[in-house]
Amino acid sequence: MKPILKVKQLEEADRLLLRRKLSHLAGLTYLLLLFHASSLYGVWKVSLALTSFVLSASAFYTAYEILKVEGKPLRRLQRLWRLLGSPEGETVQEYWNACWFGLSITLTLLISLLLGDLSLTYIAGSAVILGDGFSGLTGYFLGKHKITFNPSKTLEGAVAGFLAAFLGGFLFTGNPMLSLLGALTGSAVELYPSKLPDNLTITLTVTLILLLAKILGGIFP
Amino acid sequence: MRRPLKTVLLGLSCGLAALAYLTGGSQPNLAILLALNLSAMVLLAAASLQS
Repeated sequence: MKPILKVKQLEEADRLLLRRKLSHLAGLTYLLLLFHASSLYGVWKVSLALTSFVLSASAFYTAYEILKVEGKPLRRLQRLWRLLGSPEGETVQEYWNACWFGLSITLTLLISLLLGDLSLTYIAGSAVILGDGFSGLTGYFLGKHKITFNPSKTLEGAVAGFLAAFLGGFLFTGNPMLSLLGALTGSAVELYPSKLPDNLTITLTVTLILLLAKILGGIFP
Repeated sequence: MRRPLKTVLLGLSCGLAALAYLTGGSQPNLAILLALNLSAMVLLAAASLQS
């Protein structure tokens, strides 16, 4: 087991991963803002603000990436991304995970608004933020038993991710059935070996399954 | 990026945006946001494919 509590003794790669996963977990701010600010300013205003922020930030990030590939990187931003856990600076390579994360959760939010039910956003958000974040952290630092069909994942990580996603979804929505379905789907997608960014695949698959549950199963209230 | 791929991606982006706008129905503001978001995702997919 790696010494998770002694951060100074961690190797550079471990520290980078720890920072990346903590930044990933900070995405919970999105859900918390939606949850609390909606009751103060209304769902529409908060959603508009969040969507505008994500679209502007994605455009800004794309400009940054283009400048980087053109050989004119913005050094201060590069240092900030590295502080947040991105492997920036090691190679001139583009990293789009942050954009995928923002755009997919915002797509789910807009679909939820169209349907008039924010449960989708809370559950899909919990699956990708808490599920992916905790499974990554637990698996990397405490994982021992590798999953046979995907050796880069561990049983401990999968269990931690599932529990975190379920708890998060349940605390936001109070619906155990939907939260269970969302957490199970998120964990299954997380474990499936795929080259696609999991921020995109987890969010969209959970949203799709919850939509199907809404249409076919009548699980939604 | 090759020209046919660019055309396909641009077409897909516009198609998705139009679809989002049409399905928005009585909520045009929401539909515009959805269209923008979908277009951004398609363009991001194009950028990822290129890199």
